[in-house]
Amino acid sequence: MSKEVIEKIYPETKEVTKLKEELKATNEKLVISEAFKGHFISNITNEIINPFTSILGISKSIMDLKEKQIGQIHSMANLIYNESFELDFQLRNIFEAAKIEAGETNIESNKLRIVNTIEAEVERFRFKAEKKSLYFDTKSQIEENIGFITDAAKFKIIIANLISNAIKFSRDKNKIEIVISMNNNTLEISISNIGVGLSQKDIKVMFDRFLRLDERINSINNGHGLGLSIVSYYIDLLGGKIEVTSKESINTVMLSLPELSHNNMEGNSEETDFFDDFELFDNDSELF
Amino acid sequence: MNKLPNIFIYPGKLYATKINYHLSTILGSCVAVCLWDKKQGFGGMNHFMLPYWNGQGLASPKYGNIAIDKLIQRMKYLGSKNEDLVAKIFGGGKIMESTSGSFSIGERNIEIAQTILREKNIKIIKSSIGGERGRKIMLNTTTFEVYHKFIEKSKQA
Repeated sequence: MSKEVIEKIYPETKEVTKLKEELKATNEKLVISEAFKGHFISNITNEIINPFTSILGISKSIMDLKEKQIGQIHSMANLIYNESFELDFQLRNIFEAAKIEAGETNIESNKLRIVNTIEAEVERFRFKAEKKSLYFDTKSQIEENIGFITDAAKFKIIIANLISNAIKFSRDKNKIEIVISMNNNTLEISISNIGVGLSQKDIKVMFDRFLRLDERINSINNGHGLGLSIVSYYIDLLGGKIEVTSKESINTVMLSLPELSHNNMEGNSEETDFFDDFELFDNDSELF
Repeated sequence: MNKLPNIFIYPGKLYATKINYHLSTILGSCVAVCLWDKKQGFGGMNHFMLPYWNGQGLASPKYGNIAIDKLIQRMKYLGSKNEDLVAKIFGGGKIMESTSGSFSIGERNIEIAQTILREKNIKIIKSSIGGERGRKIMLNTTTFEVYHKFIEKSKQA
């Protein structure tokens, strides 16, 4: 019998084959993931220990400055700020991932002025961008004062990671473009940078926890792929979508996020009428 | 029925407590496993969307194999012994139109819950699973009563 005939008679065959393939792919992934875990720990060590060592070293040098060298404090403080910023950012990501993996994430709704929030994040990262002579071009097609209901803390983490990534993977002296728009209560944000072009395969594995795209990028950039896996988890949780495209070395991340109260999954209202719902205890209700 | 503090269990979240709470959630093809320590009278709940972690993204309790293990761990951390644990499982409806064939997500979610609980020798004492509707449930962590209601399509998770 041909494969098609078998599949016609036993419709399950196709699915079993598909599931087997999935299983095989998963097994391969687990092997890779295990290997990366080792890397991950050494990466993390580097990313925590190294900045700390610098901060300690520089502060010591400041303490040891002679009176006439006081002028150097400014540039040294700058170095400390750089290192602390990096450390703070990495640690936040690590704790965020730990919270997700422990199953402790909640959604909190806050009304947020989107343009301001994004601009504040851009501002925070500006000094990093300037080190690579990058500049931001933020275009907003929405009213600046309009509030948008979302989880503010998660939104900020998403934006910070996307901006940080755009900087990390940009070629020097280019532009990072951020476009903010609103479409039927769905917030759309696109962040594009000019850098190494990404293949379809790169894009597919981008959000994997232990991956960083290829050695070429690996060698000149820090970061450990943790940020994007947090981003993708939170976007999922908030009912949004993220899409990455790459065309002639312009990489664009498109983020769409529905407003929370219009999200028909679980809004806050569900939480509060929950009890009343059962109090009515009609024919549909049952006690298990 | 007393009005207790209510904690909403989002997909990928889990919670176990010795305090008397209501834990509530909404399920479509997702499954929630409720565990209870019958000797000490406290319990917890998880809410997972997919059966197995496939090695992509974070190894979160969004996946059944992780969510169930973590909930058991949490109960043990609070002092439960494996032999005192009993379970109730809910959800796993055949919701999304696109999933045709014999292996819908809902069914696979139910299967993983049953398999893991059987492996751990935890008895499922009650369940409301499968079917084509979503569910709203609310667990009393002290009495292990679960209020259960079927819901309209538009409100499912």
